[in-house]
Amino acid sequence: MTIKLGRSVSVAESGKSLMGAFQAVQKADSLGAPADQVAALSTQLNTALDYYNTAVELSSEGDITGSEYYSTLSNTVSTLVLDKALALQGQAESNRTTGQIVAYATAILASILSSFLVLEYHRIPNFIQRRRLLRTKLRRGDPGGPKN
Amino acid sequence: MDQRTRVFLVLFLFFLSIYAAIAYYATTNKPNEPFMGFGIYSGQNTYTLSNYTGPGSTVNINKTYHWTFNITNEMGATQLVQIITRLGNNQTIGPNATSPALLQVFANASLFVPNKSSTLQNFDWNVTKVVSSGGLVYITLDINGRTTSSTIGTTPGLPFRFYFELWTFNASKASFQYYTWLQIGFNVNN
Repeated sequence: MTIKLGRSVSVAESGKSLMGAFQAVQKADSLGAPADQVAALSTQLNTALDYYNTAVELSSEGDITGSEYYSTLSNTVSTLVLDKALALQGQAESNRTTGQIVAYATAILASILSSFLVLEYHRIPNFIQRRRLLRTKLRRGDPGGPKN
Repeated sequence: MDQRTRVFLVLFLFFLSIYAAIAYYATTNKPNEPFMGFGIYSGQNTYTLSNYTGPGSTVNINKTYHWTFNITNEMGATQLVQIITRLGNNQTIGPNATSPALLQVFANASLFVPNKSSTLQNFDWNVTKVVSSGGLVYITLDINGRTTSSTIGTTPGLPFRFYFELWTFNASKASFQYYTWLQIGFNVNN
């Protein structure tokens, strides 16, 4: 992962960004996003959290430059996670909608087919009989028949 | 509308109610019991604590013990958890099912745990110093590279006790909430 640092951000700002990314990942999870992809985002969230904790520690020691550096790193990783989580949310929602459409369309088709089968059930033996007759080759007389 | 069409519609509605119910069941998330699992193990063997046999075991000064927390998330979504390590003795009131302890915090680790998975967190510790004062023994602990001295002592021969509390982050309240706890007692061989 390549991280390009932009403007420096405060510890509070990076904390807020981290929480935003976390909530987006949770939502992606609840929408049914693939577990392996969400797990990868959790790993990145842990990286952002490590940077954030370092920033908090440096801030408490009075190292403002170091604190801002790690806050910015944390913020950058959080933003990346947020973007990916939003994309996963969209993908999960789309998959869910597609799944629902397929399931209900199948239900409608199966209902039509079942109703038709029940309604036309009495014709099925006749239909099969007719098919068999059509396939039967017509022959003159029956050589194996009774001989008088 | 003729008789055949009416019968067809009735049949269609009958079958649709059945198949739509199946479709709903198939596309709806199944209910499950959410929970978090919390355990502590050694690095050498997954199921036992290294060089530690149970409550009252003795640990050596300046020897590092490599333990590992195992946090299992079955809450339905990624969780942010915090593990707080406190030190007490045989007499201190530890945490219970509903409340955390009010003892000195020795270590505090936060991490994200993905849903439906277990995450490991190192807990490397050693007793770096033992001091006797006023008939009590006090220890200095190094946990994951951070050194803290105990404010609670114990009577010589009686164990210290680690309390490990698992807290989970509640996004709506924007704060950590106490979830569960573990405890391990140990004597120090100085």
